[in-house]
Amino acid sequence: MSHRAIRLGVAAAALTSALSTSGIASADATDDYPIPHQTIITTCDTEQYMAAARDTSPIYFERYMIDRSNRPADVQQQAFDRIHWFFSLDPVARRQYSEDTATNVYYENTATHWGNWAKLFFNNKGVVAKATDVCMNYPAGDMSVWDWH
Amino acid sequence: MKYTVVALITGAAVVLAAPAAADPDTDFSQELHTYGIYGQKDYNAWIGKLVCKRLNDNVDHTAFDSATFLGDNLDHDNTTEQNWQFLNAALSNYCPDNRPILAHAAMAQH
Repeated sequence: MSHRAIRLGVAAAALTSALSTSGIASADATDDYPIPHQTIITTCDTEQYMAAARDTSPIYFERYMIDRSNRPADVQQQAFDRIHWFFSLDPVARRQYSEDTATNVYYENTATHWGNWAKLFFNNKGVVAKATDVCMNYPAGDMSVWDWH
Repeated sequence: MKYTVVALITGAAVVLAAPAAADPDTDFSQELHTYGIYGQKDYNAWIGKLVCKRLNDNVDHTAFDSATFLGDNLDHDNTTEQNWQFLNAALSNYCPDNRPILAHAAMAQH
């Protein structure tokens, strides 16, 4: 085998390896994607987080709540139940859930009814960072945060 | 006679249409400019309306609560006076029913 053929073979192998590695990386979750790390480790409950987001990212919160109000009642309820279930998980289970949703777009049934069902909680690292910084200062389980007209 | 009536109706329609066509967000934005408050028109309009919503939904209870919300979410280079001017403009343009909170705040100061 000539040197040229060897070089080409090595280059092809390297390229194939790079492609397959990048394929896996793009499907995998990271510590910040799709669910930000601060959401995974926060000890705040759903209502504490929401109240903090209402005050620290008010327009983002408002848009989420408007979007929510335009969903059928059963979908709103499903999203409500699902986000409470998520916040009941420990960080390890949250990280696993992040992995599951990153690798399988059909894993989260709620998302098939409402694509942005968790936007306030998962989608924006800046929003999450600001809210998780102060959420512990809000009362836990205060359902009045959902009362938004 | 018929033409006169048509002209009057058309004239009335034009007069009536003019106020309806005015954009409250533009009025609000222009008022803010007189206080030296600039920034994105849409952002300011959202925040102005949210001042009202927070009062109506019992998240904020007093003008001081509203001023705190504004201080956190408007340009941090704004003066305290500008934040109160923003509050005054938001109440006037989006929820005049809530204007009495300003008088209550003034009384609380004395």
